[in-house]
Amino acid sequence: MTIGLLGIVILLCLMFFLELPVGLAMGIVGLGGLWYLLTPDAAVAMLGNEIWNVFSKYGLTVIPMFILMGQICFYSGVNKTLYETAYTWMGRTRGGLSMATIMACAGFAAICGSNTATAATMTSVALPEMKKYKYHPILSSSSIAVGSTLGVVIPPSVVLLVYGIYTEQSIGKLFWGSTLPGVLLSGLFCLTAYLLCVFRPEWGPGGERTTLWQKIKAIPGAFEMFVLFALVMLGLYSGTYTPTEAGAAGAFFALVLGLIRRKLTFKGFIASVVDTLKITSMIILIVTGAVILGRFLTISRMPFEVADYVAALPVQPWLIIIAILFIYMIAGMVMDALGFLLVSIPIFFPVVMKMGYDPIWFGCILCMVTTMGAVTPPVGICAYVVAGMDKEIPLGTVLKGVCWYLPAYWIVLLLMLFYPQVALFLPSFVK
Amino acid sequence: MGLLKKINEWLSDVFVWIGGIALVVMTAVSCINMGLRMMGFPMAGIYDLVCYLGALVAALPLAYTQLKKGHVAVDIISLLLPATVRKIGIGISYVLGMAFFGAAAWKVGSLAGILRASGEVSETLKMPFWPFTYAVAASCALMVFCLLLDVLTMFESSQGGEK
Amino acid sequence: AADTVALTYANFPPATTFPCIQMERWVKEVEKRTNGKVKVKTFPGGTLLEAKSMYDGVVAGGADIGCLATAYQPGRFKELEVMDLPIGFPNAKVASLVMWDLFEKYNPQSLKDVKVLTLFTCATAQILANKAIHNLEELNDVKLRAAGTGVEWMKLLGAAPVGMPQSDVPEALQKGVVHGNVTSMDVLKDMKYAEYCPFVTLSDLWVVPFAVVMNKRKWESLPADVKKVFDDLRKEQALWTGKYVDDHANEAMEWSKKEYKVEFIPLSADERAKWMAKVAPLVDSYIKKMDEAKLPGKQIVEDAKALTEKYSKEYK
Ligand code: NA
Ligand code: NA
Repeated sequence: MTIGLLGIVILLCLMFFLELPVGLAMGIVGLGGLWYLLTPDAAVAMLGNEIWNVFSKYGLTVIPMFILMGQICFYSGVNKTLYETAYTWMGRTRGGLSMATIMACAGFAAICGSNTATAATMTSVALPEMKKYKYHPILSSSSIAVGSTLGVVIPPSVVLLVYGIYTEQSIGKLFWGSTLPGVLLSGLFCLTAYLLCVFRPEWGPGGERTTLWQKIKAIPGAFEMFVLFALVMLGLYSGTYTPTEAGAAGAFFALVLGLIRRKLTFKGFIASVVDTLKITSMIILIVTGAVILGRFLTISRMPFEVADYVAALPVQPWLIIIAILFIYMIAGMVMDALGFLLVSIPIFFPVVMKMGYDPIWFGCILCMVTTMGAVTPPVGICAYVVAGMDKEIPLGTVLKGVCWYLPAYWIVLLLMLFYPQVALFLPSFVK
Repeated sequence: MGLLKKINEWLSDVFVWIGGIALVVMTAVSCINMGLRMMGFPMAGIYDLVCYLGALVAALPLAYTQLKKGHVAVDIISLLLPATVRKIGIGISYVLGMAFFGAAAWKVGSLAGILRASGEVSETLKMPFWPFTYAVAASCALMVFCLLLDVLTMFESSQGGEK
Repeated sequence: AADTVALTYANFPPATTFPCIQMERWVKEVEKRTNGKVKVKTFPGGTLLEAKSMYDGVVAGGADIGCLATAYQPGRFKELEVMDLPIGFPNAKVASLVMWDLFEKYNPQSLKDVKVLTLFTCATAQILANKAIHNLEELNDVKLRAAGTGVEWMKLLGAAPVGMPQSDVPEALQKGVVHGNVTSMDVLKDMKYAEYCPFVTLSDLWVVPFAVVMNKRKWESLPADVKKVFDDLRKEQALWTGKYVDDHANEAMEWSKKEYKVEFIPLSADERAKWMAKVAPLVDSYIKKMDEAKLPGKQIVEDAKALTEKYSKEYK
């Protein structure tokens, strides 16, 4: 327990004072912790095992393939024309492009189950464009970071999949249950972006007024992205491929579109491959670090002990729920969401069931609270991805912006707590 | 020093090229598999191959990404420190990174050795996959080399500053 | 207390599945028989070590004890691969006991670096599908999810095996990417496969073998009385687990009949003989492969068959 806490303190020092890359910092603290708790031999051997394990994990292959899709779009100018259209339509509204980006994230979340893949794809599509329209980095980077967390809230979702398999709940019901909260959350993100620009107009400058005719003329600019999206969506929902394969299909369609429209040069293709590789290895290094840190925290039994302690608190059921959510929020800050989920569900789930709460509701609420962890430091993988993809945007800028969006999560959480129907209404139609 | 840097850049480029080929092959193989499955001829083993190609895609560009300073780090607080202190901090972080990747290269390499000697093959395709494991080990080793050069560069530039 | 022994036990599937249930039973049994002298902390769901790094992780000391599926690493535990063959195991009890006896007789080189605490298998694999399959003709070209050796079985039987991770399967079934999954019946209830698979062909195909192994240095450091408790539990635990998974599979079957009206299709003796004839080449290629590795493959297969016959009389 104490050693776990100490580990986190050291982690923060390494990251903040030594400028150690975050993935490496987590990996080093994890390795050091294992060294202390096991034997040096065992710790170093675990390191070798874990690195090979993470690097060769099938579920993670979706990341490079979706990034490749985003990069091909970027180098064939698909996102440029898309944002020209968006700007013609929403540019006059303050923060309009941020809202458009959040909506695009929500749409992308419907085809992709992972928030890192969403973050990487949307950063390559949206960030350069928002920069062009003079959006402040705090606003542009944070809208993408929080928008990408929708990747696991809006189905398909890795978190709900793991929860469903673990607790023997219907995946279908969980997916439906998370849909409405996901839509609500997207709406609140848009509202936040708008309000931010009301108070800080210089963050998302409004553009010229455009006529209806200009708007209509601009529509074809969104055409390519729309077709790409529709193709991926269709294939996924018709069952041509599994969620993990959707990335490959997306990259393929993007390539074909770029070639048909003669917008992708060979040079552009090479550049998109190289960028994809760079971003992939950056993300996988962070994931690896998070996994090794997670192993250390697991062996320190800190997560188990905290969970056991809370589960045994002699207080009202709703207080226990609040405590559990609080724990997940804190855990989301220091651990990878899935890692803590795996450790804690066997402990919390029976407790919550015994108190008579609905398992689908609890799953959706956990999904909401853990997803927030993906943008909160020190282990905020989505924020890292956005910051890592643009040299000019330091992590601090992203995190500053993210803070403004946190109330949106809390509002949806409170709504779900007080009106469980928010999560349970749609699943009630599923047989 | 200049030669070492050249070697490092050349090696990183070679690794990235192989990684790029792996990425293209991985995407193509997944698409071909989807196509064949639609036509009723699924290839069951493809998923093994995609995992191992994925390992190349993630590992081989590690050093190249370091060379381009693409691994995300936090400088909010360290920027407030005096320049020398900050520099020492970064130096320590390079050394820690070298230790980490050195251990990683060694252990992933010995895992590859174990896989090779034991005759373990992939689950469905039944193909030996230790070469991929060695490639990951080599990528970690190149990371050590890359970080070593970063440290040397730091010394070089600080000596230059004193003159 | 200075004389208590603290151990860690890693497992890869979720806490609710049978490999973890047998783990908890073993832990309870050990604590009871050693009068609380041995305390075991369990780590289910791959939180400490994952499936494919289990063996090497235990050897290195990442966990003291680990439970692994040997078939996930083909080529590694060659002697135990006999368990993947069409030997004709009627249930997990028989398969688990056969596996144990074979292990004791051959003492495989590949498990020399660890202490084996027990061996067991899952229940026999059946075809869970969204169409009724009564015979080989109806099985022809049906897209079924299979992994590892199962792929070869399905190819020989004329089906079209599809490889994908277990987590993708429920959705793939609903969307029709695959028409079924070939696996033991406990998933009907545990993972709600009864929801998507209205037909089950009772074909008693392969079993998936598991091994529970312990770090050798840790084992040697144990006091003699604890060692004895562990040793005595080894075969007993194999049988207990076999019995548990068989009962559990039957329970899942009854449950799916009642809750989802799943239809269970038994194979006639004639039809089953046809199926077994189709997959017989697996045995020959195993023996050939073992010959190349200078291991007594033929002998192992013969022993496996004889033991199966022996135990089948005892455990129907
Ligand atoms: Na999603
Ligand atoms: Na976090």
